[in-house]
Amino acid sequence: MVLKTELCRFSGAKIYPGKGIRFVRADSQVFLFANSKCKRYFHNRLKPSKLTWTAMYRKQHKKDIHAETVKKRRRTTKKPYSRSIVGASLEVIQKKRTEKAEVRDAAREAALREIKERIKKTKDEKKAKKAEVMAKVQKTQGKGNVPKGGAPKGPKLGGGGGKR
Amino acid sequence: MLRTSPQLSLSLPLIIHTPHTSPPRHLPFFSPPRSSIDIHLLLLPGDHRFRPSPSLKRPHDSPSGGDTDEMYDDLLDKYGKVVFTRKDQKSPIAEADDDAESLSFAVALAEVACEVKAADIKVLFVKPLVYWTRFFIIATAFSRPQIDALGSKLRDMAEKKFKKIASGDNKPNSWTLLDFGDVVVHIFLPQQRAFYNLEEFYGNAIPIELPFDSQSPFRN
Amino acid sequence: MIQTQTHLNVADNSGARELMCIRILGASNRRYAHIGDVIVAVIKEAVPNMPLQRSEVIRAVIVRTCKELKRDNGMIIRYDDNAAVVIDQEGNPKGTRVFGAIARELRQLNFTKIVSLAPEVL
Repeated sequence: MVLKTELCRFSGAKIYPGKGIRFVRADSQVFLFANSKCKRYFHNRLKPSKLTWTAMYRKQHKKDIHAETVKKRRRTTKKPYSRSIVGASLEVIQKKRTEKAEVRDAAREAALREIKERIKKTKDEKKAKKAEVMAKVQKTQGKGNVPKGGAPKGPKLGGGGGKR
Repeated sequence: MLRTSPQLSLSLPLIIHTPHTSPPRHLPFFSPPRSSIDIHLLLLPGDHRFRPSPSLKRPHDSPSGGDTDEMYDDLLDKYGKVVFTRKDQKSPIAEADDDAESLSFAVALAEVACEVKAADIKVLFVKPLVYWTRFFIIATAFSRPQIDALGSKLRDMAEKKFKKIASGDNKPNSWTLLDFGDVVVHIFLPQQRAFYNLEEFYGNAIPIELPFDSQSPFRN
Repeated sequence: MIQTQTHLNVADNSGARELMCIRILGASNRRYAHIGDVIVAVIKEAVPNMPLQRSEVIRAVIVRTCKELKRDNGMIIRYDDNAAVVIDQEGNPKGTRVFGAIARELRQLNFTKIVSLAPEVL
């Protein structure tokens, strides 16, 4: 047989076995009260959250949970988040995590540079192409001024001819 | 803080993908402290009349008081210490042994009931449903003399073989109940059996297969 | 603490709604009845179209009392209402189901039938 302390439903106080009054409501919910003060206040429908001496008030107004929160935060921070994500499997993530920051930085830099370079290259290529085209155009313009001038003139002339 | 958490959780894969930013710094946001406002909304002693009545539930898992119950569970973890332990704590094995013993007792009782030509004998394992007993035996007898015979035979057998003495009805009754502690025997007249319909009430209990034919075909 | 003229709720589906205690069985000059005691009561209010009628005299077992119930281990239990279960002369309940929480003392007092019909035993 194991006996345990229980808690007052109103004040949150510890109740040792053999103490306290159990109240069974019509919906067969059981309430345990530490003393007649808690019992009476409950039946008078006082709210434990408005009485400063209850555990609920203290909980709500964060009276004694500093240590708790600190502890909790530390614990949660210690737990690393590791599972495989859509694209990247767990090993990849682990590898990435174990890498040094500089290495990662370097890799990133390299990647960026590469990308930049690629972009530049494509840009250059484009420029070059453009330049080439331009040059060609220029060339063609410079090379055959007469035939070029002649060719557009032909339709014009013809048009003029048609009009007449 | 609460509102931003979905976005944070969305950004979580990104954080993992580029392990530059240290993801643990964000993690406290994923377990935001429960807002204290709904705690006090839920534990107004005044509004207890308007709560849904979870008639079959223990107070600790009532859905309406979830927050407060959690809080009390927390407190109980902290303060609910064992203050007294007696050495008669049963290990799960001993518990199972007891169950087996009760089961053999119940089956023996059912066999006796079958001998006296009780019909429709059912043995139910009700321990998961009620704490106060382990097995129910429900049987139908067709007349008061038969009930009398059945009751006295069961009592004799229990006293001789298992040294258990039943409390309950001594005289034959339309619903005769023999309470052996672990095993409770209900003997009904057919009419009463249909009226009280105990099988339906304990429909979630585990029916025990009997080693003999309990559905005696005669008389039906 | 149930005495004559006490009104009680009915905690089963027998068809009665409210009882009034008119006699406590057990001793000649008994004052109060507690959980597990048999009383003689009159039906003050009944559900229409049920076998039990108003102003019928029946027997009932008290299953809940507002007065605290003390156990040997120091546990004190009190309920919201006074309630009883209607039984017949043989001790069988007239209803088929019992409502609400019920104290386990009833089993010691040979009302295991009521206990086995109850949804919750405290």
